[in-house]
Amino acid sequence: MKIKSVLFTLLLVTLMLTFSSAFAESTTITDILGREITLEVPPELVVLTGKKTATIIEAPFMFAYGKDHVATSWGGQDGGKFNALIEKTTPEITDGSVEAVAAMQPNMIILKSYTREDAGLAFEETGIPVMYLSFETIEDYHTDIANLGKAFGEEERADEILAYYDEIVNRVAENSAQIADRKKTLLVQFSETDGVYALKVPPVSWLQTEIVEMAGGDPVWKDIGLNANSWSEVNFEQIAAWDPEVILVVNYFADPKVSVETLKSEPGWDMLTAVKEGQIYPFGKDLLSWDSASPRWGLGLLWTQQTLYPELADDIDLDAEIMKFYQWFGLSDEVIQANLIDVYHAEPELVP
Amino acid sequence: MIKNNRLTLTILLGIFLICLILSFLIGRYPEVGFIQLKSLENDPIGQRVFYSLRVPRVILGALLGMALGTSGLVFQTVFNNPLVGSGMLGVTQGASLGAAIGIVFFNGNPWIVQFLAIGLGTSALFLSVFSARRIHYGGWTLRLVLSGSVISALFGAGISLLKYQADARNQLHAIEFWLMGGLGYTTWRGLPIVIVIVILSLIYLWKVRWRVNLLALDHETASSLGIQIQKERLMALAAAVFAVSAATSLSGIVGWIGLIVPHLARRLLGANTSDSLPASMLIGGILVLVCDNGMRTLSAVEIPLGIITSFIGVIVFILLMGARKT
Repeated sequence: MKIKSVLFTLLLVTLMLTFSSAFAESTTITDILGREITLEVPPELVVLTGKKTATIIEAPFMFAYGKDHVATSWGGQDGGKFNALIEKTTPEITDGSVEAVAAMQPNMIILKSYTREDAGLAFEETGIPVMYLSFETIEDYHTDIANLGKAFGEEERADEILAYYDEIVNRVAENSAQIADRKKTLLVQFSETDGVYALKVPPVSWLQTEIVEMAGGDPVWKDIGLNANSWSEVNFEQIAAWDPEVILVVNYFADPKVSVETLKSEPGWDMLTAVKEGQIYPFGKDLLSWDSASPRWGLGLLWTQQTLYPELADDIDLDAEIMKFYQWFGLSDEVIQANLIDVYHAEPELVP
Repeated sequence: MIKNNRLTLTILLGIFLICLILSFLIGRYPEVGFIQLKSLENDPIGQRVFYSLRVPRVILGALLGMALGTSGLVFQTVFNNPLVGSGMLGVTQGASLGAAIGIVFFNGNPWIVQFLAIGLGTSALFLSVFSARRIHYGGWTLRLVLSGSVISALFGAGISLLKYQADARNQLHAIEFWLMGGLGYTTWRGLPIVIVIVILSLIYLWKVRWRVNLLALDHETASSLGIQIQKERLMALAAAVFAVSAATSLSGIVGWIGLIVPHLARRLLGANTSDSLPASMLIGGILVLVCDNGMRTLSAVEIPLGIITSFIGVIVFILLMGARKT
């Protein structure tokens, strides 16, 4: 009888151990750089750190998992205002050094894809799985969101997020298919330092150019052999030579509405077709601009098409779209209205 | 005097060794302060942080400081000019351009970056000396400083052009990181060859340390003493450039150490390079390790080493220039 009890207990323990190890599911992910990483899903703690994280820092919080398990540094072009709206329980990372991050004993580290050579390799040396994210193109979004879903054990959520972006792309593409004559469009970044401003156009391969083209515009800066790798400064002479029909003004660090008023008051600008016909617009922005490769690019695409072709895009209710987008981050309607929609509609604060 | 110098060198060696040991033990893992080596036994992440990150970082820091200090003394002695260092002779700008070319055109391959950094660093030095000989204005000191500035500007323009061409999303970031200099992300990658080059160069310079005194002599005086001055100058300069270029190919530009350390060494031990060369080696190593340790433990943000050494270097340089000669 005693031997039977012992054998039964041993069998029970063996079964329990087998099942418990089966529950600790391990998965292999191929990240945007083509590296394979293996980790237990879902990981207990993920640290998103390193340099140049502006475009990757928000996407993890589109997943329910992110709010309680992903620790990041705050900051960015809005000084961390948007990040502060997200209700999360993880601490802010103030020390992003390799040793300090390793001391947190995270189960995974997330870094920006193009920092691997000068910083990522050191993080990899800790032996903690490192996943790189890019979020630089629409194609990258599909890979990166799917990978986050897999890592967080929220693959269904990842599919939903991607379906949201696909729906926007398809809707805009359907409208664009009706356009016979594409408007000559100029997207410029207004960059100001010590009261002196510069106007810059994006490289052809960047998301800003893709957004204008997908929305049905004809980016005038495509054909002049610009620097392929960074924003290129252009002067008024070049802008006058292009004489675009529509000008979209981006400002990452200040109110683009003010930038538009500044440009309109500059000598010579009143002779441009876009200015004469009232077709110069501040690019859509709430706390952050919608043109860059942040998760807001869907809003940026909708905004651009509605601005270029309001007659085709009258079905786009931008306020509803803003509400819908920020709900991915778990923000309440009141928070979205007060902190994002109202900011988007706010009057420019012009200095007399 | 000889006895005093030996004592000073022994003290410097002691300080250097203490700094080296402390550098291995101090850091931000598992918390800010000293690490207990015993605690690593059951901590696989701690072991990797220590052996794969901290150890190579400290080794590179020590070698970088030693290379910069020693090469600075060799340059100042050979060119008979207290105002030159690897930065003033265009060597660091040349090495930077080489590294930038490696980053932009060869995908940052560490072997190619090192090869180009050493190649262009050496070219910059010889271009500076060559053009100094062509200038028909002022004495040798002024001519060398002028020509070094011109060559630095030339290579600097090349770097600016490459920065303009570089991909803002990855290459530009890597070039800027390199130009600011830092040890924050040092691993064993590319380090073994740097260790070999720097140590061989330093051993050679240490062995000829007393003859470095003679390299400042003019051709006729040196010949009368039976010295093949051109050959020995070339060997000493090559060893100095190889050491600096190899170390900076991994760390990026770390300024001012090569300029101020030889002055500090001479203040402490006199102008005789038999003593001031090993002193420069040790003081350079101590200075870089202290700066790096201070930054990685006191600051939560990894401030590039080059920024700190520039601040300290400028202050020390002003103090040294203002101090009365003893």
